Amino acid sequence: MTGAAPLLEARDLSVTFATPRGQVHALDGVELSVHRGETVGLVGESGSGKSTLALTLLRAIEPTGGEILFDGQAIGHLGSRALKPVRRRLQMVFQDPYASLDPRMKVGRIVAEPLRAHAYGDRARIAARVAELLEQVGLPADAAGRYPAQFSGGQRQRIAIARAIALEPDMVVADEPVSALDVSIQAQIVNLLQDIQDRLGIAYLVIAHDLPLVHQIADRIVVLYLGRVVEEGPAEQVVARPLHPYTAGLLAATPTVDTAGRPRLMLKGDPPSPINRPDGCPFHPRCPIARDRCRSERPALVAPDAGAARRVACHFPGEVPPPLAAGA
Amino acid sequence: MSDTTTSSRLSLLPRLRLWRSGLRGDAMLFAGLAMVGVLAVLALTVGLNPPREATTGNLRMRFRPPGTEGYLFGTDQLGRSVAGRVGAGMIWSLGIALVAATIALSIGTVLGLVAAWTPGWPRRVIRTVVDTVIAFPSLVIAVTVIALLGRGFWPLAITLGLATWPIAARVVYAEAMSIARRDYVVAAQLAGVGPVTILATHVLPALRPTLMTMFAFTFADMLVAESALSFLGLGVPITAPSWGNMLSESREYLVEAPWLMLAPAGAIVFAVVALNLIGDGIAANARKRGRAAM
Repeated sequence: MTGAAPLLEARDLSVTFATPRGQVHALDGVELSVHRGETVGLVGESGSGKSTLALTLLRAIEPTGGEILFDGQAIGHLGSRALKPVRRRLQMVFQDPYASLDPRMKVGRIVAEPLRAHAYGDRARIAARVAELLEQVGLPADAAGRYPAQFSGGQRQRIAIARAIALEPDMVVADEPVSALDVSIQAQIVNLLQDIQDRLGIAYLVIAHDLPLVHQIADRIVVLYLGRVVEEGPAEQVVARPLHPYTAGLLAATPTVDTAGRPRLMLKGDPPSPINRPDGCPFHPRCPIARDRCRSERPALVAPDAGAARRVACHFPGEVPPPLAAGA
Repeated sequence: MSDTTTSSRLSLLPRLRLWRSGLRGDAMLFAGLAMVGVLAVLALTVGLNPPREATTGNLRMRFRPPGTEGYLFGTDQLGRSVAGRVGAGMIWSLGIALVAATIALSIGTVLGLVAAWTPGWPRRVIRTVVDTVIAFPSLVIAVTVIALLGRGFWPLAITLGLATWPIAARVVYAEAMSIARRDYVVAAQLAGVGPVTILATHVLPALRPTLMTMFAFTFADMLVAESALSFLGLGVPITAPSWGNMLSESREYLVEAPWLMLAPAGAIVFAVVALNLIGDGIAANARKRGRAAM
């Protein structure tokens, strides 16, 4: 990566929820960095903590441990007043465009919300900016006077994107931005996000469970399992040669055209409960290459070779695909 | 919103569940509003200017049955017009219920929103007060407050309001908490919108159907509660022609003059059905709109 300090950095970030059944470790010592203008893809199954991580980085959920740095500033425990200038530079796009837009508010007001909150200008200036933003995301100018219900899912996500980029933030966190949309619409939204990045140089943290999508848009991939980062590295390298058996399993689980030679390593079972996490490596109950060491000792997230751009939390990195996984 | 939560502890009648009858929301709303319109017109005409026969008795005309010339619902034990007294009682019964429902919903909405919006000690204090007030039997509250304030229109209205606001506060609190978790509210927070602005622009508009529904149901409950308290002798002054007082007095003449009971009871049922129709109509329309938005 570049030598410059990252724009957003999570250090040993933890979030624990107290529930009647015990403590839920939703995030457990997450290490993550996003550089300026970069797109980082965050993947993992349902329940791996992806959305919790997004909301925690944006301070919608309070971290219980660790620190979040934005442009060098520790923001993990800032009060809402001190956080406001950070919010201006760090925005979010939600998964469900039917839930993230107030059904009782006209589109123009929705898009103007961040502008008003940050005293962007007078009424005329805000109206002009809203019109400009709607045009940028490919919506007709008269959209401002209509309600969200009058738009399709893809159009609604465009509205949400217009709101997120209204203040020209340095970074946008997109939580599964296309998974609620028709497949035919998904590509359009992905293209729109990329166009915006080309124009504004925004850094993205894109959350997805869909590795091919992440591969298409991300510079780097971070794989989350049970609230921990198990692998990270440049997108090409991670997809071409996964080092963690979980990453390999995620890749094998997605249908692709060129499956020739790729072993079918099926991920079996569901992730264990984050309340009763297994000892040792959190992945070992489902891991095809687990050995005694994996059951007792938790692997740290380290570079497999000195100087490598990748990091993996596995005692036996790169030992996938394993010979025994093919059949069954 | 649950149907049981808005039902007053003072109410003696079970809540009518008219929406289950399959009537469309708009139809219920229209019927309810029409009935309330009739009540409002009567309250503003007969209620504010009761005929002389309603207050001045004519001992030669005691216990005349309904339909007697000039006496639509007959006369009572003092020869007063029952219809006139039901009309004059509107000001007492409907007025007290209206004021009580307004007090209950105002306090309940403000404190429910404050509790939902301020985690920490304000929420704990409000929830404790709500639980404490609900823990007291409402009759104990009513007797105490009426002993302090005396009988009359305002003491009764204030008593009913003070006994009922915690229920409104709970409903508003629960609803506001669920609204606060919606993506569009989180999105507004992340956009940097302040909590007061979010409350005014996102939460209150989303609460509006709940508040309107709750107002109609609380109004109906207060009406029944006023009658119940007056019936027990804890309500308005004995001489006041409130519907509850009329019911209470009618007991002695139930066999010889049942219309003394049927007229005020019919008025109560008419008003309660009207308000329930409005409440259910609003709720049904809100549900329909909610489904359409999905």
